[in-house]
Amino acid sequence: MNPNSQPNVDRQTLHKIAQLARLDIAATEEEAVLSDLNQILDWVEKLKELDTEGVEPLRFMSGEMNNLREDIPNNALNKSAALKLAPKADQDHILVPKVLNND
Amino acid sequence: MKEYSSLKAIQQELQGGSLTCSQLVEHYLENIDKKVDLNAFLETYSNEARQQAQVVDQKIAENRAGKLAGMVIGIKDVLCYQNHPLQCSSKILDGFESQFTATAVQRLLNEDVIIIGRQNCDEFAMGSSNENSAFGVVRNATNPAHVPGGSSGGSAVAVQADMCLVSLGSDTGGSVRQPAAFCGVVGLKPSYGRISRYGLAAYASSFDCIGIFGKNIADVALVLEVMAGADEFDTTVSKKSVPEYSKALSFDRKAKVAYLKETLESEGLHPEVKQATQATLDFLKTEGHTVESVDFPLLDYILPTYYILTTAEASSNLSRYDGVRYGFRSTSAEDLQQMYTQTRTEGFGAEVKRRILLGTYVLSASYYDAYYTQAQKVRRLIKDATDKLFEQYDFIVLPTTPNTAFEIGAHNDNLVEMYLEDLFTVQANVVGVPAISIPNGRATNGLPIGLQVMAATYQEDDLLSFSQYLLES
Repeated sequence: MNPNSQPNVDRQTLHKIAQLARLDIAATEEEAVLSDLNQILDWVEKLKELDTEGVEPLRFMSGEMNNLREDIPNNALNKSAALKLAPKADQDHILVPKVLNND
Repeated sequence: MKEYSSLKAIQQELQGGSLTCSQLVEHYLENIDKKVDLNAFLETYSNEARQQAQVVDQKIAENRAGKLAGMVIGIKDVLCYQNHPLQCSSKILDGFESQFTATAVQRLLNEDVIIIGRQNCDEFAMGSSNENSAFGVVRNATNPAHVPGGSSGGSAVAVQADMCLVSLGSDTGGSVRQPAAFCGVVGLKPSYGRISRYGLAAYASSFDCIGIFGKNIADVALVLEVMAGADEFDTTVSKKSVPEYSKALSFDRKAKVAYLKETLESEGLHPEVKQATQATLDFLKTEGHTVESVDFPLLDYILPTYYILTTAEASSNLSRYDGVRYGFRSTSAEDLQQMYTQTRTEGFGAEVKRRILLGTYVLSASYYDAYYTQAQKVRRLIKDATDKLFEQYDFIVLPTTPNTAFEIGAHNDNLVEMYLEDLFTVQANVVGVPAISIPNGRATNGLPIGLQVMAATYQEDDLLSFSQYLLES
């Protein structure tokens, strides 16, 4: 457990990571989300007990490297199929709200 | 109609003319309908299944049917099946339809499998109880007040309650084996990279595996041998040749079996689960197999490693759900940034958001080394220690879960308690080895107990034949 009982995530950090993740935390949820995250982080703190000096991080689980196929051009998804699922589209494009709202 | 417990029994009757695929499909559809309260299926493909049954019946009559003729399956709602909806049990994929079929699913179709529907699961496969679905909880058929386990809960219940013969699930930390144990069926997670994941919605890419639920080992072995092997659409799938698992199911040598002292002595282990595991180990000893207790002091570090790495990978994988190209889009946004945020906030459920936030946190610049890199280092320690055990032993035997299926709502107040349900299953995912859960009796409350066996990477043949031996004994 976290020895200095200082929470890992405070309100400000929470909103910062929520912004990075493109999620919005309503004021009414703040406390519950903070408590959940800190409960989990306190628990995973346990890893810091282990001495990992000189251990190479394990980044890839596949033992086979450069498992490549030949690069053959292929129209895997045609335009109408690609546009079909878009929430909003015209004949040629997926439509989204304005990037800058400068009214 | 009676319940068929193996493809072999079905195929014998199909060949003998006393059964047709059409009758089988009707039987399963009736069961799905009768047990609709269990909430195992999100959608059935009844008309298509009926049509496909006629096609397969015709093929059987003409003696040109595939290996899996007569097998009716369900697929977890994380696997692509062209022109069929796919939602990962999430609101954020409202209206999504697969534009191609997953390689694993296609290979089964090529052998004349009949797909009867898609199955409920925890949202984006995140959960251990199937309580996180946007489409409601799934119930355990043995006792509907209890969970079926998760995240592939619907897939487990479908086999348990005879709604299909086999289900496909996915297993990132135990999502096939844990519900298999809770529902009293067989559940296999193969080695990392054994089955192509092309067409499997990604949760944590260095862990995710497609897994199989069945009523016996032979069916699971056959399905594995059809699905496994190289695929040019997945660079992480192994090119290793695929043995004919279903033809090598006899186990006639003496095994060297280890059990992890820390698992049997674990504080939260239910006495009846412990007793059932101990009974299996005693039996193996009596039969002349080597059974030894080994220390695995890293056990308590496996789950924290798993949660740091999987949430990190999830936060990255799930960034694609932004409301632009497919699925749900919030209508309340006025600019693009707002649209992303509102869509994700309204579209994802609480557990998914929690994991995305946690993953974003452990990957953020100030904490990256302390959490993410440290977890990758510990992952190597755990893998090295496990690999070392497999230099000395053929199998590791342990309970699949510390408890039998808990009541719906039991862990609502304590997340870590819920996460601890995966204590024994995550090791196989953290190190990439194959593992299976097989039924191992029932507790006095009537709920099933599971036994887990792990083997070294790509030793599915040994794992399956040894499991067959255990089930026969």
